[in-house]
Amino acid sequence: MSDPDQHGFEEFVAARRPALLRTAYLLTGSHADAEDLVQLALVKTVPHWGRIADRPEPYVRQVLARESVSRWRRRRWRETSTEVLPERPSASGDLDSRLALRAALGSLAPRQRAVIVLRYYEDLTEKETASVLGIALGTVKSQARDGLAKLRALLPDLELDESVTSAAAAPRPR
Amino acid sequence: MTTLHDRLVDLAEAVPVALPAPGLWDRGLRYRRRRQVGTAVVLAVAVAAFAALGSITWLRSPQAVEPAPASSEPALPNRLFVPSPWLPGTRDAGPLGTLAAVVSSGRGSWSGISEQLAPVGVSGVTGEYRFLDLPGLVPEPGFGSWALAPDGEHVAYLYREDGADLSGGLASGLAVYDTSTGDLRRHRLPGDRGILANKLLWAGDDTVVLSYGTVLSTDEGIGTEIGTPLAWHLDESEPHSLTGFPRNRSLVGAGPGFVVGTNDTDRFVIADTTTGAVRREFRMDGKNGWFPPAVADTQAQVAVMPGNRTPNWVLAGATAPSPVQLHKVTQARLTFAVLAWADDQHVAVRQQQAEAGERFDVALSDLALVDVATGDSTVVLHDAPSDVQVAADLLGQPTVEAVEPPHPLDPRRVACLGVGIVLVAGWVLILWRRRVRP
Repeated sequence: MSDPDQHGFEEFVAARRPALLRTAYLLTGSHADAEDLVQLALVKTVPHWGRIADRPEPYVRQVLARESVSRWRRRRWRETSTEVLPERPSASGDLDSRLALRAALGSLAPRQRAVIVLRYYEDLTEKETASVLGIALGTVKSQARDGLAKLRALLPDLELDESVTSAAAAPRPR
Repeated sequence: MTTLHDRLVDLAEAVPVALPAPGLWDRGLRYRRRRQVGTAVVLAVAVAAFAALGSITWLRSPQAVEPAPASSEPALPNRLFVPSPWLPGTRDAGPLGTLAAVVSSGRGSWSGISEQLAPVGVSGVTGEYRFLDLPGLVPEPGFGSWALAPDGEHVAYLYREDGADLSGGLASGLAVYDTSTGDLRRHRLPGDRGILANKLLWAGDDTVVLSYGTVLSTDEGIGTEIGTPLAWHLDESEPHSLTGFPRNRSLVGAGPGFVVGTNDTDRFVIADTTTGAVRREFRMDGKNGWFPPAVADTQAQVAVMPGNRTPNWVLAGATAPSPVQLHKVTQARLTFAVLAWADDQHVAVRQQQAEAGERFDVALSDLALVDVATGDSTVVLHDAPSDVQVAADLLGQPTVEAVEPPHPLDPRRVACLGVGIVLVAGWVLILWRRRVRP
């Protein structure tokens, strides 16, 4: 690849890395993991830069979201899941609210978390979310529904945007 | 109260400012190279596996086996091999030329290996093996549907017309296949319900003889009407009936220009193949009857096995005066069948060797020439397959060193292995490209 490609890539990194880090932080719940995840996504983007240079962000975000799920899969054998959060923060004040949300997100399965972040932070549609994660539309719906139910249980004061949640909040068909 | 979106934005804003991350571009280039090298290695291994598969397939294919140098005169090989079900057929590979022998084998196809035996020709010139594609050959689980001419130039067989509503061993007519040109001649026999063949023999190199019954519908059901034997001289357009052949005799043998009939006990006739007129009659006294005898080309001698058991000994004698004065040719009961006369002094038999002891098994027997004067035996074909038909004219000739035919791989296995290589290579490739870390 030529120098102009490298120049364009580095410009993109300089401009969009903070935004990517924010999404990665929501996906991983850790600053260090978010940094690793963004670097991984950007490095994996380089081989395809010539093809996506005009509009790289969707591709990078796709790699970011998928890697956040697959990294968890690779790690899960050395991690333990627990029913009860290690620290259940009180719901008073901004800091507490953030910690409570971070802890609640951390309790979600990686794919559920990715669906919630893409749907409610990135404001993607269900179809776009399915495309970014490479999963079926029905899976997006069920993962969003289950994720929201868990968040509601952990965060009783949680308010949802009706325009976004109408489909996901519908009761599970019997 | 804020929405989930607002709270996520608020949480995300808490991320510290990103530190510079130099060298991402170079790491990306190295990552690309690793993926390319890994992909190339997987593809190279897949190509090597394909090449190995192709080489093995080719080495076991008929093209890779060098046939014996074409001899000027046809000859019998000194042994026969079990043919592979995946040998080529004459439809694809062409006629074999003069045949030394015909054996049989189940034939392989994409749906499996047929239980019905198909004829496999063995070239008398190059020793090659090839399935004989005989159109309409009656699918019979035995090996009585075809007969090799004494000179190896023709194969007579019973055929069934396309769409004929016939089952079992019922045939529509008689066909003759030219082993050198591949030409086919057919003669349909009357009767909508087909014919049931009794004997299909060659009376010399150019005359095929058939005794058969015509299947008829009667008030009492299905019956068979025994027909007059037919003889087909190949220089004539169609067979003719041997009207002079005695109706109370059944056809049991043939030789150049003559057929042999019997009353199934002790009386025999020799009739010509022009009209079926009886030229000679003889009697062979024996309380247990006889297996079908072999009459010498001169019609002056007969060799036979007593009908009480197999294996048995061989007897021989002059056909005149009658009753025939038979003498024991072999002292031990080691012969399973008397096949044909090779010349005036030697008769071809299927025989087990003395050292085999009491383990009598036709599958272990050899095709041998026995001197009717001395009883000396010379093995022509060791471990001859029980269903082999040899070109009788070659029996008295020297044999040639046999060439083992190829054993092509089952093409279904080759296809499965090919698909397997593609799938495994694809799976490894996907796994590698997913797993490789920058």
